[in-house]
Amino acid sequence: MTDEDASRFPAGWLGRLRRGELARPRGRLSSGESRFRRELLALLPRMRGHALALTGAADRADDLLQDTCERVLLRWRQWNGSGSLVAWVLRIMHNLWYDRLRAEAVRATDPLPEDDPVLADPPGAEGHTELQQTLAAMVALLPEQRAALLLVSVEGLSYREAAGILGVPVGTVRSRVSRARAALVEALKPAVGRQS
Amino acid sequence: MMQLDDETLNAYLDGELDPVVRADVEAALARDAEARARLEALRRVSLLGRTAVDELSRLSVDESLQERVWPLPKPEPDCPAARTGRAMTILSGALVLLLGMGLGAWLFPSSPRLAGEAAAVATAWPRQAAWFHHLAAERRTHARPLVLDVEGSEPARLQVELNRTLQQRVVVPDLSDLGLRPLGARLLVEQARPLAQIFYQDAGGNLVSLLVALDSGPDTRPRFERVDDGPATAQWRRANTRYVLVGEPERVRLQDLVPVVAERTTR
Repeated sequence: MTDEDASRFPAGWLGRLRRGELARPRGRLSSGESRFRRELLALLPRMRGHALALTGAADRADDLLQDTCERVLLRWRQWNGSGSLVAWVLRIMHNLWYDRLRAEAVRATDPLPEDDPVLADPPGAEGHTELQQTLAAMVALLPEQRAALLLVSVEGLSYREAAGILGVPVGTVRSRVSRARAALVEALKPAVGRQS
Repeated sequence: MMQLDDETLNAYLDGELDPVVRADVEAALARDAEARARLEALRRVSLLGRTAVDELSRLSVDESLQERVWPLPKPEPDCPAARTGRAMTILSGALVLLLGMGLGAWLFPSSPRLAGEAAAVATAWPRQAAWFHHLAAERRTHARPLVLDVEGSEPARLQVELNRTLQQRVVVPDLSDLGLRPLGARLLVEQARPLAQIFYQDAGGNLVSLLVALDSGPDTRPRFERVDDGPATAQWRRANTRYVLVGEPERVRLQDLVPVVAERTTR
C-alpha cells in the first residue's frame, strides 16, 4: 500500500488494514450472506450519522463504524433475520462504544470539538445554525443520556427496545430520555422559543 | 388532577403510554396551557435532533468500507488470454445447453427459461450495475432523495452530459410510452472507465436503471442474469457500448423492455 493509498483511510483504519484484521469474505458469498451484506450496505449512511452523533467526532465515528461493521460481519449468522437489523446493529455499535468509553475513562461531558469540520458544518446545514446548535447540544449531553435519546428520539425505537440495547431497565431509559430532552430544551431555548 | 411531569410528557410524546393513561394525559393537557407549551418544546427539540442526525446521515460513507461490506468484483481483464478463457467457457456452456436443452433453446437465448438457467452466473458488468441500482433503490426505500448528477427534468442537458461523459453519442432512450419517466443519471468513473447509469421510475414508483459504458468488442445479444437473488439484469453490447438494464424481478419484466431499449439507444 502506498502513502497515497494510506491517505484515503481515516486514522485508525490503516493499522487494521495492514494487519488484515478486517472481515473479508472468502470466495463466493452464499446468497444469505450476500443478502445480509447488501442490507448492511444500505444501512451504512444511517449508521454513520448515528455514530457521528453518538461520538461527537468524525474520526471516532469512523473508527466506531468500522469496528461495528467488522463485528457485524463476523457475527452475521447470529442475526435471526426476523427482528430489526437496525436494532441488532445498533446494539453492537453501542456495546462497542461503551467498551471504548470505559477503556478511555471518558466520562461526563464529551464536548463537540470546535474544529471538527464534519460536525461543525454538516452537509445541508450550511447557514442553519439551528442544526449546528442542536448537534452541539446533543454532543454536550452525558453519554448515557445521548445514547438513550438517539435510540428513542432519532431511531424511533421503543423504550423497551432501547433498554435491551443499552442493557438497562425500561425506567432508566425513560428517565434518561426525559433528562436529555430537558437539557436540549434548556440549551436550545431561542430556537425552541421561536417555534412555540 | 394528574401531574404532568417531564417523564410523563416524554412518554406521551414517544407513544409509550397505554390508552387509559394516554387519555388522562390528553384531558390534563387540555386544561393546562403550561404543560402544552412544555410538550411543544419537547416535541420541537426532538424534531431538531432527528433532523440534525438525518443531515449527518447524508454524508457519504468511505468507499473502502462499502467495498468491504459488499465487495464488487473487478471488471474482467480484457486481454487475449482472458478472452480465450471466456471463449472456452462460452463454448462449453453452449455445448451443455445444446445437449441439455436442445437447439431451439440455444437459438433464443433471451427466453425466460434460459434467463432462469443463466441466473446463477452473474458477471462483472451486471454486478456493477446491480450494485449502483441497489444503492439507489435503498435510498428510495428509506425516503432519501436519489443522488443524481443530472436531473431527468432536463432531458437536453441529460443527453449532452451523457455524451460528454462517454465521449460518444449514446441516445437516452425515451421510455415514456412504457410508463417510465426519467429521473436522471449518475455519471461515474470506475476503474478509469467512464460510465453512466440512467434511472427511470414507473407509475408504481419502481426503479429501472440503464448502465451505459464504452466497451469495445463485437455486438452481443441480450443476456439475462439475476445478481445474488437481488436485481434482475439484462446486458448486451452494441456499437462498442455496453448496456445493462436493471430492475426488481418481481416488479419489472425486463424481457419486455430490452428490445425497446436496445432499439432506442442506437437510433
